[in-house]
Amino acid sequence: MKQVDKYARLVLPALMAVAAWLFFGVFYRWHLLYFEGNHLFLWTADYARETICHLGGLGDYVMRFLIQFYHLPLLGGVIVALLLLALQQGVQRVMQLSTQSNALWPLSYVPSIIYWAILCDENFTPVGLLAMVAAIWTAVGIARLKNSWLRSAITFVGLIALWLAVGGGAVVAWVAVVVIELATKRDWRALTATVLAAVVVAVMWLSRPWHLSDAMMVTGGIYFRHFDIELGAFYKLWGATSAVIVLTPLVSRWVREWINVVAAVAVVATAVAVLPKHYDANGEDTMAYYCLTRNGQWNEVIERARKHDPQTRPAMICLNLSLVMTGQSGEQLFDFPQYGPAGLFMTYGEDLIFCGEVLFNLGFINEAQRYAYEMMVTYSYLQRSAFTITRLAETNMIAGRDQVARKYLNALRHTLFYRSWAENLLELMDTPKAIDEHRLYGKLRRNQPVKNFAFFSEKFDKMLEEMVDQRPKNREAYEYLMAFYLLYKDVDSFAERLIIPTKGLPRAYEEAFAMICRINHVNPATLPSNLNRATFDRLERYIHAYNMSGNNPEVMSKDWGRSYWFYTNFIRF
Amino acid sequence: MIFFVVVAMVSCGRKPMEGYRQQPQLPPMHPDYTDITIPCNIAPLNFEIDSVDEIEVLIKGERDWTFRKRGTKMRFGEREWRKMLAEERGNELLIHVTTLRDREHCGWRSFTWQISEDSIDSYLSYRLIEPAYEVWNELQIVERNVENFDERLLGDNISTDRSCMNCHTSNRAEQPATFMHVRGKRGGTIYSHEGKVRKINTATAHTSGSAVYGEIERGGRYGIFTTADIVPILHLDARERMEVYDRSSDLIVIDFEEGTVSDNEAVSGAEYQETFPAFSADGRTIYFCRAVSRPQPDSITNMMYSLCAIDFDPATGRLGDEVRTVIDADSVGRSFSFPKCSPDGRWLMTTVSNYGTFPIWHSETDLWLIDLQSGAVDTLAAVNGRYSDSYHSWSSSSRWVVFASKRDDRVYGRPYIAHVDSLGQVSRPFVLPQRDPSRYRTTLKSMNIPELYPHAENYDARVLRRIYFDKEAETFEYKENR
Repeated sequence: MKQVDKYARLVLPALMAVAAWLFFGVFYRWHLLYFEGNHLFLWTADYARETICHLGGLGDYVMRFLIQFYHLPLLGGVIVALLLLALQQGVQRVMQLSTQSNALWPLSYVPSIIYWAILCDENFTPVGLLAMVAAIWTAVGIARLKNSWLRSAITFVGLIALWLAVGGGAVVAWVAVVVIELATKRDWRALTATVLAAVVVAVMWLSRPWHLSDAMMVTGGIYFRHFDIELGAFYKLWGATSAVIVLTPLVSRWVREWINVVAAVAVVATAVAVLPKHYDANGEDTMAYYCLTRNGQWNEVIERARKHDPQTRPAMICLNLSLVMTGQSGEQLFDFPQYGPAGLFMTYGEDLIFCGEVLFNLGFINEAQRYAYEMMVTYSYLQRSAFTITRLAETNMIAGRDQVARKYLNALRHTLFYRSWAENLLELMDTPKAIDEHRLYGKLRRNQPVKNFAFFSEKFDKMLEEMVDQRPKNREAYEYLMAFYLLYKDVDSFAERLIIPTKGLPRAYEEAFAMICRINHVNPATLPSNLNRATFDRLERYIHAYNMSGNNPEVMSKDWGRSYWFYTNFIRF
Repeated sequence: MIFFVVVAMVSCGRKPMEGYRQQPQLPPMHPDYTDITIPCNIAPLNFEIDSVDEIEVLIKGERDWTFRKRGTKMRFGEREWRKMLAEERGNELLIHVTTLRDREHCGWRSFTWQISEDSIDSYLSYRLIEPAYEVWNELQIVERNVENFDERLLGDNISTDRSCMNCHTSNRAEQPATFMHVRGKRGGTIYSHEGKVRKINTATAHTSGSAVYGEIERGGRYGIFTTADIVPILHLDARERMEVYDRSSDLIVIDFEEGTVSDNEAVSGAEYQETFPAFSADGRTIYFCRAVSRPQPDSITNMMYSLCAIDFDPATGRLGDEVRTVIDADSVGRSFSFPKCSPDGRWLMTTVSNYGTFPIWHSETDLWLIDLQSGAVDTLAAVNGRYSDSYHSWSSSSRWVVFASKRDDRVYGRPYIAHVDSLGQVSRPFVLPQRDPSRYRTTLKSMNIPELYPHAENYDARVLRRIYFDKEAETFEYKENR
């Protein structure tokens, strides 16, 4: 049993690190990319000053520095895994120092497992994790100091500095320092130093700048992405960590190796049982759709949808946009489970992120810019984010507002991963006519509306009609509008706008057109020859099957689920 | 000894640069502070020049003043700067800028700074806000001391439920009266006068909503305001951004002493839309903008606001019954907004745009100066920038104006300052100097609604927070304008 205990102690850290790396670097890679896209680390002194000069600012700055490497998810996974491992190793070291043994060492994994679960929610930043790592290793460092006066002085200064540097996570250091001190040296000077440091922090807390709330004082406002800070999770985490640190020396004398082994099994089993429940598969999928759409990887979006149907409305919007961008909407729109026009657009009040992509790619540059601005403003944590700043640079450049585009691009030049992108765009702006001739930006510039009109997101189909009237060559807007008509089941408007090319109609359009002809008693023989007569025959077979099925969608979906007719008859929205 | 040798060597290094290559053009400085008139009490005009290793500024006036800094940013020492302004007051200074780059000295074309005898009001308030469209998140009302770089917060919406706050305005009197609107559940109009700060609910059952744009007369008792139903919409034309229009708007008079709100049929009702009222210097006339009501947004481009005036009796707080048109919008093809009279009563500066009532979003917006004695209109061609010169404010001496301009990049508003002499000649404007000269190039916030005043505001954001949460808003009664 002793050997098992020893090997488990050696193997489990590596196991956890690899598991965390795989979890975040591979299975949560879109989360990491999305998270990184909502940040922007600038290599400038002003940015450093601005970030560091607030409670917890140093931790925030270091973590922002690390988050930029999430751009490479495998590397991002390594960072998260190493932080979780550092926390576990730190807690284990504190337990060893306080017990002078390895008693209950498996419990040192508890804080890391809790933070692992917390990080599954993208609204929590890893700054709190870094804070705990800093806190626990500060405690370990202090415990190593042998000179009583020096240890006391460092305890006093270090704990206060730690709190200022990383925020409320520093509380763990207090607990660890006191426990180690009581369990080993019992030096009254060091213990007094912890009390004095706590008093100083309490005084600072009470005389804090008036605009800082209690929640801001606890977390520095940086452990969570939104203003309504979710403190409960942190209290539980710090409470559990403190409990592990405090209880271990109290019970260590009764702990035998077999108890450690049982505890290790229990911790692993708990982790295996709990962590998958926190894995946000829908969120990961949606973020994958967003990141792919953001990068214009339309075929990858469609491929993803072929493997698994999009589970969320934003994902559906990304898919339908990809179909339009690749010119496959008319052919393949109903190859995927459509559930109404909601899969094409959301109103301004519902979404700024995904619909911003729709607007940008359909040529609504002014609106795309507005959405990017609003997104930047709405989420203060995203004040400077790669997603919004790059989009603002693009939209301003396309709209001809070069000066303000340069402002954003010059900021991006101070980043690691967006520098070359920004310099390319700056070069583009410096070259006459280069934007007009650019494959993407030139097209988007040409696709913008010619005349001014007021934009209402609630009437996006009307906006598309206006756009198509003004820019008949804007193929993407035309196809999106036709998709709107089809999904709205507005066949009259569809027929009014339908253009029949010489090579014939794509499948979905032809199915809709055949249906319209039948409703209006048009003889297929009188129609242009480039229309596929087989579609009309298929419609007759569909009607026969429909009548035979007794209006049963399950029966019909097997053979006809991918037809527009099935959508018209059976999908309600 | 070594120390003194080092000090002596460093001191020797402060000699003006010599043996440089002369450039025919002006220095590429940000912000552009070339050939301008500046107040005798302005903060140092710090600037930066990209990609240089060292900047030297030699200023020739009554005597020579030399400033040298390593790096790209020229930050003048404040003490030395103040001394220079004091000694050179009224003089025209010749400025020689020399830069060092890759061990090569480069001299740039000289330019001038006219140090005006006229000082500018010491305080400037403005709102810091991201130039977003409909939403906001963090915004602050900041009071800046323009004689140095001190800033303090008058309002911070983080501490007031993230409510919108706007229009901090002063009457610039010796006993100043100011107001600011704070929206939100516990908001109101914050009125400050004679050391008291009050929170007022200006909405009544008889008037359409709360006070919006307005002014307080110099006595501090009466205020004239717009009440408006404001609607934002979005342009699809990439040349434009946002449009904001009033579904309806009227004028109201608020008596802060008596606690009443009154209106007048001449400036309310559905036939016309009235907005942007401002007192004349003697307080006996109210200038405002008025347009015939039309269905909006369809007819928004036909909404042309004329510059109008109506009498006001400062003894009774009564508005007159007759509206006079000062300049008909159709006759000049421009729509007026934000008329503001100079405190000496000689001038009226106003914003003009192609149509509508929200010029901040219109890139074509300009400032015009009207001589109230002769009626002559100066379109300030040399003053207006490429994009949107709008909200403006006079200093109490009538010799300086500050206005919000987006001339640099079309999106971010910045406070520009210009001198107005006794003949109405307006000098080339310059942007408010900052301690860090790169601030305008890096900030993602606009500075809008700049307001000059001579005395510091008597509350700050902390007081405002207390008022917001702890004080009930005073309710004002409606009073008929008889």
